[in-house]
Amino acid sequence: MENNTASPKNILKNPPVQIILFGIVLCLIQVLSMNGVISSSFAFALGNTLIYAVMAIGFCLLLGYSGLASLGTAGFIGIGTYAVYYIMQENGYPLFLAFLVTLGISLGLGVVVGFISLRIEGIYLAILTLGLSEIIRNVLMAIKPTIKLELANSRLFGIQMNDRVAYFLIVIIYCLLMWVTSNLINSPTGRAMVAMKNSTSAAQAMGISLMKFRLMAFVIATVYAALGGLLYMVYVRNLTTSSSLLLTLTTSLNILGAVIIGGSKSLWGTFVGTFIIYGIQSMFLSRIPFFVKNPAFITMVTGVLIVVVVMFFPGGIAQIASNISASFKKRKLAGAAAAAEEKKGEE
Amino acid sequence: MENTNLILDEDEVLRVKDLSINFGGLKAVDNLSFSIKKNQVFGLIGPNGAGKTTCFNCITQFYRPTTGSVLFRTKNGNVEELVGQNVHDIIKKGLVRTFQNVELIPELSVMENVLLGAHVDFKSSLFAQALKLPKARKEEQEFRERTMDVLEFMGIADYANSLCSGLPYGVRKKVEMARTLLCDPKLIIFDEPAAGLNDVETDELTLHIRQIMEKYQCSIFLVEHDMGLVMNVCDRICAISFGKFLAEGTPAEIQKNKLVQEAYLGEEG
Repeated sequence: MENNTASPKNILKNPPVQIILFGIVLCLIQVLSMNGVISSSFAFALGNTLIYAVMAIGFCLLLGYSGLASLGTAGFIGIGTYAVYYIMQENGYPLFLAFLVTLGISLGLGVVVGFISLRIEGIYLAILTLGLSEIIRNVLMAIKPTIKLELANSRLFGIQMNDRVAYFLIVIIYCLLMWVTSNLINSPTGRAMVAMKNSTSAAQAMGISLMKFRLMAFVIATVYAALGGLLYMVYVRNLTTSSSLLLTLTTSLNILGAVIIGGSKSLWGTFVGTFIIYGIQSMFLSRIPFFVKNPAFITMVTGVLIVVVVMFFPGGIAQIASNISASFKKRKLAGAAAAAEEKKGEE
Repeated sequence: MENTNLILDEDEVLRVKDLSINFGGLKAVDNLSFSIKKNQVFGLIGPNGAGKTTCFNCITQFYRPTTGSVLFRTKNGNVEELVGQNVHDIIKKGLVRTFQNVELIPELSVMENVLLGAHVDFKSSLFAQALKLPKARKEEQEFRERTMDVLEFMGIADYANSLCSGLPYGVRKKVEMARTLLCDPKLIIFDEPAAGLNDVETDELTLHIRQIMEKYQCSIFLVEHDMGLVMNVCDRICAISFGKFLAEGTPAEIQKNKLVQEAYLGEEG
């Protein structure tokens, strides 16, 4: 409803406004932590969560809108991290170039991998992409098991990227991708993706080429994952591929979990899902002495949360939110009906 | 592909010639030939399992026919052989279809479902859509207005913003019909449009089919079991049984045809 945007309530319903407001809140948290109101480790953990949220947006488009399950996210993250290392650390070029290279490689790789693997569907696609992702990880590990980006080499437009500056970069990229993706979802492309997820025959009869739109969704998810890898490297600045879980199946599964918990067809839900899987443990649970002593219980809490959501709210957090707003509307309507009845009675 | 025989008569829209398809040993469609003229409602009838839907699927390339040819006069007036083309390219020629068991997208609203029918006409690039450039915005707005006209024409404008999953069957059938109207069709294929409708809805449908033909200046090709509807709405009818051609003619001729009667009622004595 773009016709009546006058009232403030309608402005708040406008996706770009929501995204900008959210971005401002995220930036404020960092500003508060600079002033010592919020602990800096809390803000750091939030930035880390946002990186996974970037990857999850792409996966949301792939799984929730196009109905394709891939377990290859981790491998594509690796592309981003290593691109940063080789461009910035080894050759001393600025972040902007690393950004372009990551974009280029992930686009190309997404097209090639997608072209090979998208002929098969469902669980087989998941297994195939898992295999490909493991190949990428092992190749990267063979090239260099540990990569480290020194702060002196991390610059964007002449600004040194310490983790506070990098945090703002993450927020900007996250908001930008949220905006682009929400535009796509409401465009003919998004409709075509949902159509092909629900009925391949109807989609084809309406002129939607399955291969084209599957490939498109896959490439977008690949690019987002690689950008996530790039941000990770700029933010955390070192990665030991052999011991870190970042490039393993765990990450792919966590992102799958985040998208499902959030509600696979909701971009905001995706953030909440990522927050539950990555944010809660690093930002809250790891502060409670009990969990610090017994870190295994942290994973357990996340596990229980996942089970509860999947069992009672198969539509994810987004479903809970829409249930609540529906019940509010109902109450409002009932209230209005009662008021009208009363009025009638008075007359 | 042969390009030598791409000739249709001036008033022909579709010509099916010697069409056959085998599934294993079964000949689902066997040497079938017929042709559909401009602004004509053409019916395909036959007992259950006669191969009617299979015939539709062969024309729209969901199945690859074993032999035979399907000539079609496209939107821009050229005659093209459809056999061998991609399924998703068929609608671009001006040939669009519905499905026997209503293939709507439950996760999309009525408006969005019908907009899918205009999918091939959206010209703005992925880039323009992602950044919501004015061009993409304007295009979307235009198509939404056109969709609204179609919804009003079909009498379902009130449902524009409701999700398809919760709608009554009759409305869903109308939504699917509406979806075929946005692409400037030359031939619309309806697969059992009256299945599951009550008598009132069927009468309304009869009216709608003639209205669609007149308003959009297209031909309509339908498969139907409801003989009342077929006899009322069709200009010409082709009857088949076990994939084989039985008879073709006006509704009155078909009603009188001995072969058709036998196929439906079984041979006498």
